[in-house]
Order: sequence, then C-alpha cells, then structure tokens
Amino acid sequence: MVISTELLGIRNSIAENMENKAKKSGKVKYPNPKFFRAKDNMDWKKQGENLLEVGKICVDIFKDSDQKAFWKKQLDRTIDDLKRVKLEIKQGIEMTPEERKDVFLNGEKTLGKLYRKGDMATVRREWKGLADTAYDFWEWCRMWGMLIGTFGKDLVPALNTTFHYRWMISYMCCVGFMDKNTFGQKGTALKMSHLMIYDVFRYVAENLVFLAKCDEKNGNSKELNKKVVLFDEMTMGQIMAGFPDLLGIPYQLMPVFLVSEIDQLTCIPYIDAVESFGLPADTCPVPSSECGALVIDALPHMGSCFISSSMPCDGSVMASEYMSRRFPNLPVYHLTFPVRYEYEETTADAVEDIKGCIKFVEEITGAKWSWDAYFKQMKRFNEETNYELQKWEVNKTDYPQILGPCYELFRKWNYEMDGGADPRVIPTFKKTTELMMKAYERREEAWVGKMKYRGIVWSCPAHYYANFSNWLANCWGVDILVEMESLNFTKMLETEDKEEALMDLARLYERMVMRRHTNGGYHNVVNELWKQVEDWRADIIIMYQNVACKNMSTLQGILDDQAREKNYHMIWIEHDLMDPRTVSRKNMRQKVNEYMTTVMKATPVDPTLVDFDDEICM
Amino acid sequence: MKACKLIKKTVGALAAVYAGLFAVYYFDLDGKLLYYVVEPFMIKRFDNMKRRDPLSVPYDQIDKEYM
Repeated sequence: MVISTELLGIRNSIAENMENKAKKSGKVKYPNPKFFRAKDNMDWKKQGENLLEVGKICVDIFKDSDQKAFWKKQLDRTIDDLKRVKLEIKQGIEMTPEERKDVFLNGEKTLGKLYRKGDMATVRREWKGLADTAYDFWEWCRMWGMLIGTFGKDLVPALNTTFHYRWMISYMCCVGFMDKNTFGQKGTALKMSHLMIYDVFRYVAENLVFLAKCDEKNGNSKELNKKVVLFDEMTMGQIMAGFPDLLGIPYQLMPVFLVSEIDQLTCIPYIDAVESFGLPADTCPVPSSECGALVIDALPHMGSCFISSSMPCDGSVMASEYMSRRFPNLPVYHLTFPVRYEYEETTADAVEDIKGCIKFVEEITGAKWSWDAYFKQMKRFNEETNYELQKWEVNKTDYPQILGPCYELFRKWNYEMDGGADPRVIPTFKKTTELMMKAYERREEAWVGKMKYRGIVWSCPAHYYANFSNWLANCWGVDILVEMESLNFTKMLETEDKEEALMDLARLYERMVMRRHTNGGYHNVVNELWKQVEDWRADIIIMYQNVACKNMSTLQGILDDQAREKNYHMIWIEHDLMDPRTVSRKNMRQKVNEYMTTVMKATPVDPTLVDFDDEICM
Repeated sequence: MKACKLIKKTVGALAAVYAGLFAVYYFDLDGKLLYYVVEPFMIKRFDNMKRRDPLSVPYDQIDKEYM
C-alpha cells in the first residue's frame, strides 16, 4: 500500500510538472487532468460488503438458474447461426461472379437478416465491403481502447459504480449503439459518423469517471466535489466557460437521458417507481425518469451546487423540485428565462438571471468568473458554429453528405453540452468538413443507392431510441437532412464587449435545444416548420408525436390542416420517448410503412427491414 | 537468424491477435457477452439491492440531511 501510494505521488508530481510546462506553452489539456487525480475517499468497508453481495449473487445465479435451459438456448442460437452461415454460403454460391465481387467490395444489400427475434445483440456485424469493414473494425478497436483507457484513469470507483447503478451497465453496450447508428453507411459518410460519435463517447466516458469519483457511495472525492457544479441536463453548459477551474456536469444526462438513447429499456424501472408513487402515466418520460431515478436512489450524491432551469418546459421544473427535496443540503439556483424570447426587451431580464447565477457559483465555490476564459471558449464555439453552417449549406444542395444519427447527436451535444469547452473537438470539425467537401465534389451518397426522398424531422424526436432516421434511409430511402433540434441559435456570440456578451449568452440559452421551437408559441414551431421545409426542399416531414407532450399536442390539428393545404407529405409517428411499452418501435415503423405503401405507392429499398422484431433490443 | 525468427514470431502473434479481435468484432461477440451474460447477472444484482425507502423516512428528518 505504501509503495503504491509513493508511486502514485511520483506519477502525480511528474504529471503536474508536465502540465505546468504545457500551460506555459499555451497547450492546456482538457478536461483538467487534476480532476482525474483528485483523491478518492472510498468507504472500503461498504465496498467490501458490496463485493461480497455481488459474489453471493453469482453463486445464487449459478444455483438458481436452469442450466439445462441456458445451454439449450445457447445451442439453439448456435444452430440458428450455423443455418444462417449455410444460407449465406448458398446465396454466395448462387450469385454471379460480378455480384459476389460487388458484395465483397461494396458490402451486403439487405440488413434485416442481422436481427433475430428475442435477441438483444445482432447476429453478426454488417459486412460493409472490404475497405469499409476494415475501417469499421479499426474504429471498433479505437472505441474500446478509448473506453478502457478512460475508465482506467480511476478504475476502482468506476467499477464500484457499475455494481451500484443499473444505468452504468447499459453504457457497456455503447459500441452496439455505435453500430446501429452507422448501419448501412459506407465510405466518407461512415468515416464522418465515426469521427463525430467518438467525441461524444469520449465526453460521456470522462464524465462517467467523474460521476464515479464524486459519488458519495463510490469514489467520494471531497476535493473534486468542491469543484463540481451540477446543472440540469436540459440546461446548456456555456455558463461554465467563465469558470475554467470548475467542472460543470449535466447531472441527469448520463444516468437518465443519454443512456436511454443507447438502451431504451433502461429507464423503465425509474418510470415505474415514480408512477407507483402517484405520478400520472401521461407525464413526459424524461422528467418522469429523472424523478423515478431519485425515488429509487439511482442518481449519484455529489457536487457543490445545482443549477436548475425552467427549460425546455415545466417538466424540468418538476424534476428540479424532486432533486432539491432529495438532496436538501445541495444549494440550488433556478434559471428561469422569459419564454417569449423573441421580444428583445425581455433579454435584459435574462441577463440579470445569468448575473445572479454567476454570483451564486462564485459564492458557493469560491471561484471567480474569468472573462478571458469565457471569451476564449466562445471564440471556439463561434468557430464550431461556422463549421456547422457549412454542413447545412451542403445538406441543402441536391447532394447532401453529412447525415444520420451520429451527426444529429454530435450537433445536439456540441451545441448544448460542450459549447466550445473541449479544444479536441475543433480538429474533428475540421476533418469532417474536409471529408464532407471532398465527398460533395465526388457527389457521394451517405447510403449508397438508397437516397430517394429528402426528409426533415420535427417535434420531440424519438429517432435515437428507434434508430429511426437510419432505418428510414436503409428501408425506404428517406434521408433526414436536418432535425428540429439542430436548428438553433447560429448568431456569432460577442467576444469583446462584456455586457453584450451576457445579452448573447441569454439569447443562446433562451434558444436551447427543443425550447426554441416547442416553447414560445405557434410562430416558433408551426410557421418555422414551413419555412424550414422550403429552405431544405424536403419531400417528407417526419412528425414525431410525443404522446405525453402537452405543448405539442395543442398544435396537432393546426399542423395537420396546414400541411394538407400546402400539400406536404407529413407522417405522424406516435411515441413515448424512453418508454417503448406505450408505443413500440415496431409500431412506429409501421406508421411509415403504411404511409409509404398507401400514399406514396413506394417500394422499399431494403424489404428485409420493413418488418422485423426488435421488441427487446436496445 | 534469431532476428528473423523473432520477427516471424512477432508477425505471427500480431496476426493471431488481429484474427481473434476481428472474429470478436464480426460475430458481435462483445455484444453477445454483454447482453447474454453480463447484463442478466447485473440486473439480478440491481433488483436485489437494498434501496432507501422514501416512505419510511420520518417527517422530522426531511430537509435536515441526506438520507
């Protein structure tokens, strides 16, 4: 123990020296490596009891489980796998040499066969063609390497957290989520998707380590907790730009929201828990899950303070109230920006709110707001906004390039959570833009041979849960060019005048993801949709209807009537976000199938994807 | 000669690692291990865990401390 502590001390002092040198040369590492090195104060006795319990469960499982049934299931799977291999060999033999060469070099054409009823995992990964499969394999190795490397930075609390929280286990399946998001993509589109999703996953992995380190039940790092400012997952992170020595963490993002996009089944126990306490089942599953996670103690106990908000809607208010009652000793600041954000006279009120929030953080943590740090980050954020606008320009042309869930997630994460904080994201933007421009010059297709319709996604989106935009492209050739949640504030933020900078920050926050459209009235969500449909020249509107969203349900009839008058193809898809029991993914897909066959008289580009079972899949 | 053998062995070992990893990747063995072995075990663990029962907390303890 003494030797290991000594070694840790030597390692830390070497690392500190290197960081000081890097700081002098202007190269600062992100996130601050000191956060990883903050000392843990684990309750080893409790952790020992935990491990003992895990051991007991292992023995119980072995004793209780029906070994015969388990091995029979594995045998059935193996037999089915062998049958599939036989079938694929047969299909290969029946192909002409040209067809065989095409599959070998350019990949398989039908993807439905990769699913098997009742199975969580795919039968095998997609054969994308020789070069693209090799690239995909490399990215798979890189992703696992990054995950292992990041968790290895403080392995013990991370492992303890895995034994403690249900949601942690779903993160282990994140590589499967990556596969799903790149289904059918090849060439440059595949490369761009991998580049973007890697940055998102890295952010998540690093923050999971911080959660594990801070949580009183696990790492219990008092030193790090003093520097951690929690904010509601629906609140943007840019305010932390002025506090470079603090660590801002969107509190429920990792345990609830993001994990539900990886695994739609994760939040069901939380929803059930809070509903059993009397919350009506027609409440939006996002705040329901957040509250349910608090009820069954599935959120870490951590941080020095919490910034809550009324954004994007009253659901956040509900979740914040639960939060402050569950952790009464955690100081809370409520950001409550004016909803009518287009009235410029209200911006001054929002600025006062921001000033109050800054003062609150300063008082709690003892940190001082730094304008230099703030302007530096906002300059980077402006640069990223510029890159984003270039993507939009390309996607508006007849040859859209950067499509699919990886891009959609990246945009949302970059705008809302990263906000220019991580300098490692700029090279990703540069590289992606270079690739995009080259692909545009070559007139490449994101899903080769499958691009038939131009689509736009509107309202509270559910496409990550059901991998919907990817399925739309692979099955029906509907390519989602943009989604509502991407179309936010694109004004360059002020980086010199302090008062004007706060005004811009207020304007940015008021136009956060979802809030910009689904709040603030008719003009922001109805008129805006028709404007965007014209701008992007969309053939089809994928209109998600979150059955629990009261804001949007008030506008359904109006949207329907106006779409009919304007002769737009609008497909309504009911869903209940992270609760697939209300509307299953199969039922969501069925709405598109019906519309495409009856109204559009279309034939699917991949018939094997029209109907398949994925009820218990992620 | 020895160097040649060493190179051959290294290349062979690397090729074996590559082939093994590729098999794991292509047949989604990582996903299968996680979904069919690790997850069911962990779910049992989470279901068995003793958790705080908010209804059993006395009223006078509320707003006092983390429970």
